[in-house]
Amino acid sequence: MRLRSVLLTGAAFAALVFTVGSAPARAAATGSDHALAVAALNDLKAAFRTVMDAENATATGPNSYIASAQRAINVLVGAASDDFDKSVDNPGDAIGAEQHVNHLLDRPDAPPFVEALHGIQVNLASAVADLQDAKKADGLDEYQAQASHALETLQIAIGRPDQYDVFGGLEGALTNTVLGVPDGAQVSDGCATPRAPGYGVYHGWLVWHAVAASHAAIQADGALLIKKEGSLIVLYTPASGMVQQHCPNKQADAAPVPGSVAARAQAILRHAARRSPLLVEVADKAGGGVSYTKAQAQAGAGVFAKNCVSCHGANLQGVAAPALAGKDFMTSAVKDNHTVQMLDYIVTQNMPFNNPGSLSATEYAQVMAYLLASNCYPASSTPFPEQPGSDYGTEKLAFQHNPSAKPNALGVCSVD
Amino acid sequence: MAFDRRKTGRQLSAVLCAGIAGAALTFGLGSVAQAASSSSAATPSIDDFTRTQSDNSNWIINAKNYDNSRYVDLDQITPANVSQLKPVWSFQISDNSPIESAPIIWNDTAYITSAHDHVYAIDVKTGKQKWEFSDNPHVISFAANRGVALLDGNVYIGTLDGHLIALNAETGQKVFDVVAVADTSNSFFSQAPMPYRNAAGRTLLLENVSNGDWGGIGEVSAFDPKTGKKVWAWQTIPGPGQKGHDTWPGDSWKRGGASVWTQMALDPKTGMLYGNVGNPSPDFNDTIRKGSDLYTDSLVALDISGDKPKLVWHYQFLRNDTHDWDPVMPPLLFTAKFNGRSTQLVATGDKASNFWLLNAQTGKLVERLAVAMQLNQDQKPSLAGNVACPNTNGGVEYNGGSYDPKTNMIYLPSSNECGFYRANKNVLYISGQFYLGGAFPKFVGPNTGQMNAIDMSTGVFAWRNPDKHPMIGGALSTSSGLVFSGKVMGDFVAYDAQSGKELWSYDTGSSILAPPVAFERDGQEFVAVASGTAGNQLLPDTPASNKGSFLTMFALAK
Repeated sequence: MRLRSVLLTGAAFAALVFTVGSAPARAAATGSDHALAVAALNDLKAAFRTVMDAENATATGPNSYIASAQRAINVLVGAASDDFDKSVDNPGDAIGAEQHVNHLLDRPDAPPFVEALHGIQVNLASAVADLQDAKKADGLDEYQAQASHALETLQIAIGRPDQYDVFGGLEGALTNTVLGVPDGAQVSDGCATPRAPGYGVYHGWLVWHAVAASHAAIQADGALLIKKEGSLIVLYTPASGMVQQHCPNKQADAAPVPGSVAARAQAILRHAARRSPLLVEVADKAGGGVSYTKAQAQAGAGVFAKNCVSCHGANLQGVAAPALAGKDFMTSAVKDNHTVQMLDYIVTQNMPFNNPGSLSATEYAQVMAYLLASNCYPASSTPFPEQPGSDYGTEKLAFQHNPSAKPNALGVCSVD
Repeated sequence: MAFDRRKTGRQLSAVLCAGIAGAALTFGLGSVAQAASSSSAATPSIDDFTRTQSDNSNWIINAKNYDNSRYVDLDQITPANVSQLKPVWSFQISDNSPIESAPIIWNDTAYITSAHDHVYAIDVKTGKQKWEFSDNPHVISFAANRGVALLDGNVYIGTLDGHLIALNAETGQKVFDVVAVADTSNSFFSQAPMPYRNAAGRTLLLENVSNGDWGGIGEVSAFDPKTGKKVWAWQTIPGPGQKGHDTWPGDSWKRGGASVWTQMALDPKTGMLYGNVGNPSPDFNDTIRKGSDLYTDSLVALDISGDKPKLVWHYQFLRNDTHDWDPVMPPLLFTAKFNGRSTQLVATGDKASNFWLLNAQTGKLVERLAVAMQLNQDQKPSLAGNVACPNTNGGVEYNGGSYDPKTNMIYLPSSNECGFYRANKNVLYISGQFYLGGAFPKFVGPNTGQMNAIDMSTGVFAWRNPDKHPMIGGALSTSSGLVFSGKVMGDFVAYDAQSGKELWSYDTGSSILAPPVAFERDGQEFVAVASGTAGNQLLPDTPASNKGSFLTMFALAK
């Protein structure tokens, strides 16, 4: 679950940084851990962009593709490597992502980001090998197949902020560990209640980041939970729940509330002595993407049975039309970067296939709720909106790790 | 995506018991007499594809011959005795789905595919399964497969996730499996591959990508049957610098659609290939692609005898289409005495309910005929919506018709369906989803059809037989004067080729969306057709469930 941005209704808008993709690249390989990690991330992203740009271009011959693959290799391996080719340019720094990661790992201790970095090493090497193969490809199809391999492994190496350990890649490490603490920032005990702006760290894990409530713009990419605590806005990392289990003075209040973002935000609202406009906004925004009620999903099952089963199957497994829940559906939705809004667009604009637009707004919202429930999204008290606004549903579709869900062998959760 | 992600473990291993194999072999030898040297082999050789019309014991191209005539020189079943036609066996297709493929018959084995790319090898004599290949790839938007090709010991299939797969024809085991499309998020295969040998003696598999309504660009392509590697491709939308590129404003050509959906016609003597190019995308909203959008909704003639295909001529049926009214009928290629002059003609139909007859050498229009209901065809879909006929299922559909050289007639099923079309204000490209700029139209009736006979000496109807439901099952004509076709409601029927009278029917219990085939075995004539769920052809009165999917084999009662 991830919040893209939190808009403050007060005088200013603002963003807190767990991810630091926009930080300027540093050429030095001997900087702080944070600087090395940021430089590595920038190099990985530059390599990814280089391959993507080549894929999106319409070229007339193979040379531009081959050059793109080499450019991506250059930024991954760095100028000191045998794989570096000076005849094409290097879209990143001279050190290269591989060397940045190696420097980070060249240490006697084992902070919690080491596991992610080992994963990045492997994926990075694999991407370089794929790109070498892409350069030798016989025809565009083969090039694209190899380049796709490289993109896949690069994406895993770049990772995502909402997961930690090896699964989170570099974004995950920057969001959830001490790697994300910028040079010179105030560091406090992650198990203690935030008292001042700064970072809460416990055994190398980043638990929270606090900023003054008057802060200009908070980028909450990857935040699991956002709380207003006194004069501070505190963003808790996805790792915070796990870390707080190990805190010597476990505080019930500090532990994130389980359930959807909307449910959590609602729970905070209930606890808040005074309802701040910020928290109301958080609840509304969070609810827009993925909330639905159990009653909606149950009603949606009936609407689906009447209008959709003939093509999509009684178990959403797909017959003439594609599957709409489970592993196959979600794998392709994730690959294609589908959002809840896109799914809603297809459902409301194009479906039912032989009679599009024939359901009421209420029924379409119920079908959406049924699809989310079947894909193991947790229900909440906020209904799926019948009249979605333009800014709703930017949430990307994703596999749900919902402990109460019991998916069948195809990965479909039952609605009852 | 990746080559190596395919799950081979799901594939059912072949079960080929010694008894059946032995029986099959002798069965095959029985028909050697009139066929060519390779007929005892597991599959045809490339030479067999140029003598299909004279080989009555096999059926190796989707529409019988390279000319797509779907005509056989068989006369045991006649208008006089067709009432005695009975099912010999019925093979249940385990993947109950819309079945759109004609079986390929080679010696003792029939090969049929299901919508999710299962391939079934069936003993022709007993109707028992020899092996099944279960693929179950990811479905992009709708599941359909229109058959396999047999060549050099292999069975070839193009799949819903853009793979080209070769299977061992005797065991069903994979020989190779390659990703053969450029963008797996919006491209797949639905048509049957077609083997062809060019002037230089190189054997190729022709197979075209299906990506037209998903924002891809169509291609006519040829693959190496040994490796699955692409040998050449001809893009159906001219790129920058090519003639016709200026018929697309800005970058609209990059997601312009124009897939070649169905079997192309081929003249093996000249290497001329005749293919129908599909509609432009976004389908229902032309605001970003005003222009003639070449070569959408066109018949193109390509010279493929050499190393690279060359466009010889094109004829555009519909300029700037906003209704998904593309020509999807496999073109018919034949020589007929039209208006007293013997001419090589190419005939096709489109989803706008037109039948087109062109000079095959020059591409000039010879005749045009409306073969089903047409209404408001000059009105583009509005944001509020408007009615036009046909809808996207009407007119002449993907199975097309049959040309009978004996009667000099084309037998062509067609559908009267109308739709409420609506355009979207915003055209949104979502990777892996329909790129429509609107929605597929609502059904507004009348949902009827007819079987037409069009006289190829005059270009006018010889007879028309109306039907209560749309007709999309294609047509098969036989030299005895019969025309066979299947119906969406499940009836497999035979018409008198001269009068159009319905002479016989049999209820298969499920929807027929596939064309029939006929062949001869041990002196007996067989007719076969597949049936399954209604899929996109679902009508308001189609039964909610069917009896299952089947390949049913018919012969005269002995």
